[in-house]
Amino acid sequence: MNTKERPDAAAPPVTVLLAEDEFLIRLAIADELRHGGWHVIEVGTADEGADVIRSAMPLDLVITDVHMPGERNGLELARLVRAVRPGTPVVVMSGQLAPTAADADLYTMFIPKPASDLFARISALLGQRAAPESR
Amino acid sequence: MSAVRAAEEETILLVDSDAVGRALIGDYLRGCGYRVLEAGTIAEAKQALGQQAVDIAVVDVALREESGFELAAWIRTSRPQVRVILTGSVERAASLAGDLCDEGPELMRPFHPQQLLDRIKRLRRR
Repeated sequence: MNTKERPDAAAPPVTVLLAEDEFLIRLAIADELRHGGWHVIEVGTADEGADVIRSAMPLDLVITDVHMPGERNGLELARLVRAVRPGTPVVVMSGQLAPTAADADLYTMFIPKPASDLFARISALLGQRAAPESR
Repeated sequence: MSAVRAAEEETILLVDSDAVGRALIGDYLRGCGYRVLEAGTIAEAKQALGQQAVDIAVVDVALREESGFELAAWIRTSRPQVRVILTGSVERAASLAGDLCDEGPELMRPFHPQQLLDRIKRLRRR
């Protein structure tokens, strides 16, 4: 990782929880975010994500798909974030779900899939300059 | 630098149901130049092994409601080119772990990521 070119090299990296069950999609998103200097915790289910939400792990952001295997979906994970970590931004991604007014309070940003320029869009959400190292 | 370049050619699959621990070990290995894939379940691990070229699988034997031994045995038969390192927190019979593990014995928790890196390097030298 070339930290010299990162805009905030002296600052601690953004830590993001990424919940996505499609392995290749998760890998692509995680690679993009890591390329931008972020620390990514990957989970393949919302249940696994709930364990991280309830842990003491500092998190700056949660990104979650909606439909995943397990007992809960991504919106329920978002609801848990709102309850346990109320100040943490939540980005919900889905290729099937259209956001409704009833769910709007659960997330900070909705991104339809397939998602592009995810790092830039989410960096803007966090108020950071979207300048990945070497593109 | 040549060691880092050599490491970049290797892809490590980390299979562990502890997402935070997995991320910490993964970042350590990424920092050493490896390409790291992560899986929390056997199904995810099989998905990764089916879609990506993996050199070494680091498998925790106690996955959530699943056995890492089962995955290691599957790798032995279905992906014999993938070398396996087992991790865990309970001493197992050496013969059992030895049959399923290329660089043994089972790496006992808690371990420092450097210990895992040492085993990966030993495998690469073979």
